[in-house]
Amino acid sequence: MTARWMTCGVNLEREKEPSLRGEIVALPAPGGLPAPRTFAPLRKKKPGRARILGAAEEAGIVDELDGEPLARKLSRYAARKTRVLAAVCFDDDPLATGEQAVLRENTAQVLAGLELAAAACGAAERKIAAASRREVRRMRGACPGVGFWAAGDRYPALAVLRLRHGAERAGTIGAQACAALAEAAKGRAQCETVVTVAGDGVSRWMNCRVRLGTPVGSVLQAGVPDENPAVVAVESAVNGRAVTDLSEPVGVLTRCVLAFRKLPRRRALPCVGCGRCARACPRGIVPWMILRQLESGAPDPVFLLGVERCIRCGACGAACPSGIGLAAVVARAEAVKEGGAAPCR
Amino acid sequence: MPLTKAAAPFVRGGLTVAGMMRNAALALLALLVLPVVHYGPRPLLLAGASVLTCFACRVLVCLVRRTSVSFSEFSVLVTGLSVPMLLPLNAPVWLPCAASAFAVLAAREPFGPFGRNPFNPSAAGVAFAALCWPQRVFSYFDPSRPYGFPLFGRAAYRAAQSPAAVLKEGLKPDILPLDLLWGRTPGPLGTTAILVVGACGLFLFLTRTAKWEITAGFLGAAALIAALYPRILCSPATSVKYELLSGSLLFGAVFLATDPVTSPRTFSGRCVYGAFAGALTMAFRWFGTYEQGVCFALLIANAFAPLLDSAVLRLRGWEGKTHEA
Amino acid sequence: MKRNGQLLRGARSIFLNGLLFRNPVLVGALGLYPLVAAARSVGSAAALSLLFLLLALPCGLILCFFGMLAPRWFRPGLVLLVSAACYPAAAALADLLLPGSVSGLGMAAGLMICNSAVYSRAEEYAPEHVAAAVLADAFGCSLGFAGVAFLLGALRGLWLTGSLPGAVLPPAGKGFDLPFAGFLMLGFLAALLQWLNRRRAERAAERLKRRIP
Repeated sequence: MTARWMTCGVNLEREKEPSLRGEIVALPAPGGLPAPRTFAPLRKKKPGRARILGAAEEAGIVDELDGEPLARKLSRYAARKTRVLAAVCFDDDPLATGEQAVLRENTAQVLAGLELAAAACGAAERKIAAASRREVRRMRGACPGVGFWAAGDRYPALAVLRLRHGAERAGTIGAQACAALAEAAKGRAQCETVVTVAGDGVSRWMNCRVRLGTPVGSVLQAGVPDENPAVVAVESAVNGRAVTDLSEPVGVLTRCVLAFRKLPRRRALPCVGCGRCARACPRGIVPWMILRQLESGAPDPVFLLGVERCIRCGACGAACPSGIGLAAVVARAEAVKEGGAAPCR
Repeated sequence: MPLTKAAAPFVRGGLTVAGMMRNAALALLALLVLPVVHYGPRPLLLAGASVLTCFACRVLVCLVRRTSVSFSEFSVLVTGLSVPMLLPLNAPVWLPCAASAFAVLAAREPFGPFGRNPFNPSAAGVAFAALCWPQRVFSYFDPSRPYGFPLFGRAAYRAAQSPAAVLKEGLKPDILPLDLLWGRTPGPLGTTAILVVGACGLFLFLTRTAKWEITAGFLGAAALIAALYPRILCSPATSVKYELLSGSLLFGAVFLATDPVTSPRTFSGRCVYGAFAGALTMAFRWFGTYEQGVCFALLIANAFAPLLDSAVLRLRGWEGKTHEA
Repeated sequence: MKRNGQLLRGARSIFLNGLLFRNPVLVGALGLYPLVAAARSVGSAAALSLLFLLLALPCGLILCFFGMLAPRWFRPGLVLLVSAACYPAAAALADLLLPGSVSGLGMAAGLMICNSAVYSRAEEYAPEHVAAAVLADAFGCSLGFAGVAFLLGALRGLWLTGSLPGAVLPPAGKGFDLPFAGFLMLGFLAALLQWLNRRRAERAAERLKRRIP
């Protein structure tokens, strides 16, 4: 019986090369933003756990993978007695490349931050999860003392990685969070993030280092966008959201700003029964069965197996040839199962 | 610039339903090439008439229901093309038209929108034709004589028995089993050119339009039964070769059984379904009245497909919520 | 007088239900086998309907008067016994009216004894309702059964002989003889009836809405 990590996920066309060609460009901070905050740096060479956590909290570091404050995450890992800590240096999204660029250009910082984080949560082993085997070969020389994991090329790569190495119950933190932790040890608060500008609505694909709070519009302008893109999306091309107000500030979770020329085609056909959604789901949910249950008007909660496990990666919707919005269907099923909403079909 | 609030996902995995239908239609059109080359333009007439009938029936039903004629034209095209493949070339033009009309009006439309029919429409149409006009459906011409078939009207041809009919009588067919590959034997229009069918099958598997496990299960079960219970006195290997290469078994395994709407949706369900359909086809060949039983066997297997899905999911559910970080 | 009027109106609605709106074959899916297998022409349809009427009436009446006396577990057997007892007379009468029809039906004639429509009306409906209602129901169901039988028989007979004037219909040969054609036709007729019922329900709802301001 093949392990699920070998077959789950959906193959999306990835276009990572264009944005990785150049270096990360630092965009100037827009006027009106406060100066970056500083505080007392850590003095010892190998500081203790409490000091590291304190520095992380003082710097206000938020992990870009899931939006959890790093201090809280590290204390949780410490309580769980995590043995392995992995820095996630790849991006799930087919168009974003921020983490990869950070690993390539700020290697020393990421390593230092990873060491501090491992010390903070008591993990004996450190790993770097890089985007591919080629990336591992490229970075191996520059990263002594850490092991490497290679992510697969199916979306969602992070969930697949977690499935694959599930037995080791590794903790995961983002590469940018590691770099920010290294900076926090030097007394600087987290005030910047790396954002990928991509999509067929911009002519110049790049990674930008921007101050937190910069309007999304200025980041978009750096990529020389087209006259009238139809959609501007942030966070992800697969399960992100569209922005209508370009003055929205950039946050840690804004991993990418994507502009598309055309609206995605929305004609949803009925379910064909190909089963691709069930194969794509990394959590073992069967979306077509859930869709059938909801459409029948009298859903049996027994058949809504596992909807509470959904991580909202959107792989099911991306895999569906009929274009059904399966991620929304599973979310509605979760509400139904919890006993709230009516199926309302 | 006016931006719209669209919902994710903004990119998709490359496969679409239109693409799948287009691949299936292309594969079926490829099957028409050899007959046209050998026998003239009549295959095109049959295919065209059948497709036109399907479209006309669909438009009629949409008018009666007062809905707009929508996208799923393509799947109707696939039905319209696969029906004449299972009928002989010397059949009158109204035969594939009647079969297609039944396929659309009785096996597809009453069940609602595209994607809901429990039975394969092409199989249902051909089964109907076989039940109503068995002489016309199973009388083939002898391809060893060269004659052109006129577009309309009757042609003079010598009737011949297809290898499947000979096998049914318990006799060994005249040709070597591997000669069946080239398609110069009496038989239905699109199913004799085994090599072309195999190539189309490979094309469909590689483009992920059809699932290989159904075909593998089908052929495996049929081969097993052919080897264990040969219909004629010969070695098991010869029996397997004859059974798999004669009649519309391979065509059914590649084109009809792999229809995504009527086959189960789970991997294990599909394997069992393919094996079940293959075993039933051999049973029909042994005990049935007609020389080819793929369509009937497939309709029965279609009835079991949802049951297989439920069984697999229930088993999976009983195994408990496994693995997760 | 008033009670009689109410009784008549009730009987009329029971009759109509049996005939059309709750047709035992198309809505209740009862008594399918004889129709599907044996109603191949107008003649056989007539024979079947006659047999149905001649069996449903006596069974219904007898069960209406004596059904409550028998214990519940015995009632199915009682229905079958009464039905079997009435059958020879019914068959003889039917043969008198339509000579040769009963033997033409073959096995289907004898199986009318345990026809599920006759059986279910006699076993469940008859013992618990007044004689007038049972009569109306038996007549309605018989007419409903007859209607469907005639439709099926006519369609299949027409198609078998191909005698549609002026059309290029090829005779369908053996195919329409087989039960599957009967089932398909029944399915389409049932769908038509359900559409009728739905229209009726919508109209009734509209009327109700208009009456209540």
